[in-house]
Amino acid sequence: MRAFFLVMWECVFGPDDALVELVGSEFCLEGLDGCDSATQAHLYALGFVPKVTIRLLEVMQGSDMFIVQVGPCQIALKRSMWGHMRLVHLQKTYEVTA
Amino acid sequence: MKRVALIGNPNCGKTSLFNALTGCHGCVGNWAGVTSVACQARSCSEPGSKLCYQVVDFPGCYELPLPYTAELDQASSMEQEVVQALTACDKDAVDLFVHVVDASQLSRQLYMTVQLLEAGVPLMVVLSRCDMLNDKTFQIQEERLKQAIGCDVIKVSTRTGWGVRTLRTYLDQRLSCQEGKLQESNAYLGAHYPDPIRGLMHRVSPNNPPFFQLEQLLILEADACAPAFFFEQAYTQLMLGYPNGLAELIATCRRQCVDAWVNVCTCESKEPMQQRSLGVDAWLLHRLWGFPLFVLGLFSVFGLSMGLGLYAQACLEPLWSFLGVDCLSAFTKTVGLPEPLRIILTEGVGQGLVTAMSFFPLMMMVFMVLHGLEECGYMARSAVVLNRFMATVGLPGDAVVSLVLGLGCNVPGVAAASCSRSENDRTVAVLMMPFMSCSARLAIFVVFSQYFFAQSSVFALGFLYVLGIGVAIITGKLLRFVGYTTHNPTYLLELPAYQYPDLVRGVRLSWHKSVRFVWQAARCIVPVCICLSGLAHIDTHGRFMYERMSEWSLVAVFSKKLTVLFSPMGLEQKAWPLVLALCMGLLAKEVVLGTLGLFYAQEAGQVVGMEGVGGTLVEAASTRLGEIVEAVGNIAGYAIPGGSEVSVLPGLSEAFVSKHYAMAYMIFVLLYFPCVSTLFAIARSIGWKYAWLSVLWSFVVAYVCAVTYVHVVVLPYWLVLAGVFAIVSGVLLRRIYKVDVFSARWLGV
Repeated sequence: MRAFFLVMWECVFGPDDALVELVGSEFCLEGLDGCDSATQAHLYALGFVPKVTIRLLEVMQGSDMFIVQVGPCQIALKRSMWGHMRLVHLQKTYEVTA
Repeated sequence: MKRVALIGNPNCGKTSLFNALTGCHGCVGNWAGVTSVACQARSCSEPGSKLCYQVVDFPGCYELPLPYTAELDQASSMEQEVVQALTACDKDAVDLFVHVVDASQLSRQLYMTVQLLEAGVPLMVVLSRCDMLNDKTFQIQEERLKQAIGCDVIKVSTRTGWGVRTLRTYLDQRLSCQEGKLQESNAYLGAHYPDPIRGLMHRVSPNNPPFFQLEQLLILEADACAPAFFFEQAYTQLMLGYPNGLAELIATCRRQCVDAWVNVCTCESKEPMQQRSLGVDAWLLHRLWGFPLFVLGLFSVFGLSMGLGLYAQACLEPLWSFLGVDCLSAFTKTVGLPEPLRIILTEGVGQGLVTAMSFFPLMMMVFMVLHGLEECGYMARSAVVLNRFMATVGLPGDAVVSLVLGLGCNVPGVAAASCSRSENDRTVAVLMMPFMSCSARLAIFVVFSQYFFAQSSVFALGFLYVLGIGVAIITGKLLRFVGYTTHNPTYLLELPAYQYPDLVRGVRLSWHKSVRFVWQAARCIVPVCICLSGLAHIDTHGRFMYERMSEWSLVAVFSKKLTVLFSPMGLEQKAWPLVLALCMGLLAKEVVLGTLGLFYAQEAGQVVGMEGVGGTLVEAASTRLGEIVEAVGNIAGYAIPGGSEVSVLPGLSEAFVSKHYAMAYMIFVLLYFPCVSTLFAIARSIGWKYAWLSVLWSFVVAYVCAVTYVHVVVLPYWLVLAGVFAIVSGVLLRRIYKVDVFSARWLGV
């Protein structure tokens, strides 16, 4: 039954991946890779500057969107943006419970 | 007149401040992107005062985009407007830039203050939402911030009105200064760049403010043939610590500057994170039940608002009939107007007004619910929850915001969709918009579903909404298929902190929106009703007929010819007013009910008034009062939407052979082109070619869907179910085999 539910769920939303395990972890942003200048400027303005601490709050259905905390604000970003960030895993600070 | 520009990050409270300064009722909400075009209004220090100034509310942007470069063409229309204001020449020049900063997001939003200081514009900073800083651990010392930044700082709270008077007084004083003094730029106390960079800044353009010097440097650095000074030892040595180039260095310097300011002006170096928001988001943005909660919440909230709206509508309807029909009838009789003119006026104006006013309670409830959703902060979350679904048509999740705006009215929806950075995204979102069921169509669906699907009207409404969204998705997919694709890997969305909706402000704004809606509807409905009423009483030989709904009237003859086209949808010759309503609906969808009301409000008193059918005005008033009391007592009938049997158009039942034909008619109303205003909005946004394409496509889709529905619904149930099962199974099987269902993880091995 559980397998059936998971198959149906992931048919609709797509598969989850191992990043779900990292929810609640903190990362240090080392730098941005492969962004065009406009995106880079946009990210800097939002607070994604080198040495800032980013906390992964949630990975949405099918790992499509990540919700992160940068400073005092929450930002949802696409998975592909995550790939542009050079991050160092710091620690898992807390468990997100619902 | 002097001009004050309100600029800042999205969702920092610019429009709330604009409303507070000007007394306007601009749309506000706790999510980024509510304001999609700049709007301006006059503000005076006191009523009748000579000192007035123009306040311009710009759409929000996170950073100042690069002026004078090719990237400006790629920037959204919001950013382009801000750049235009920054670089404007004499006549459009802004006298004072008011940078609105959300006090709870100080360290992030002051980044733009650095850029503005570098641009050398006359500037002041307003710290908004100070009421949210009731936490004692984080207090902002405005005097210290003022000294650090080098320009004036004022704290306000538009929610409570605190500080707005001080800001007005400040603006009065500052704007009453001499012209020359006003144009003075602020003393530059921005970021401190390393010496090699400062040297280069002066070498590239010595006379420009630092912001433009830096942008010039960035352009030169990106150039394939970069000038020789980029290869000097001091510069190359400095850049060793910044592998991403000059942009990273500039951002780091600006960020350091902001951190220094925040340290100086606050007791705590760290802003408080909204723990409450995190807790709520753990539920509402959960990867498994975030979406079911979204659907459940949307249905219950709209179900409740519809139920209450219908109850209020039924209670107030006799009042509108008394004011619009009975009183008008008595007035025309007292004045002694000729009988034909009296009939046309009473029918046209009276029924037009009653139809327009009957929207009021329903719209009020819907606007209040939407306002609550917007202000609590869930609207931005819904974009995240729906991102996966929006991705099916290749649109980013925040496109759902413009589509939700389209549910209110397609015109602002089109305007919001126009703000997309990508031209293809813009085209797709705008062409999807006509299929989003606007509030004017909602009013038609409510009346029809209430009448034909009394026990299941919510499901009928839900089906229509889902169908509209489904057709919009198919349209988007088709456009993607023919080449309107965009790969947008840089999608970012800020999630605002949750807050309690302000009930008083919600009621006030909903009231203004509803009044505006009814006024606009009445402006369309009443003239059309007068014309139609005239044509309905004149026959083909030009003679006036006292009989209503005559087969030989001009409109009847014209509409009967058109009815042939709609016969596959199940419309018969006698239903010609329905076809006429569809034609009139092209002007505005509000006119559809107005037209139907003219022909299907069968009871004599409902059209010509109690007074007009032999009673006195006092008798009419007592009859209407009795109807109101009866409706108020019948609260149980409205507690569940669709529980009532009252309808504003009792004659509708004779127009349709069965309720399925009524549903087909609603499907056509849902999908055919919304109105002339939307046509112009689309043309302005993406051009006339696409506007006409949208008209053609919507008519084809509407006709095909309505005719298909009529023919499918008469098939045996088992055949329809088998067909649906086959389609769903096919889709699921395809998806199952596309992903590896036999992976070890799924099988639990």
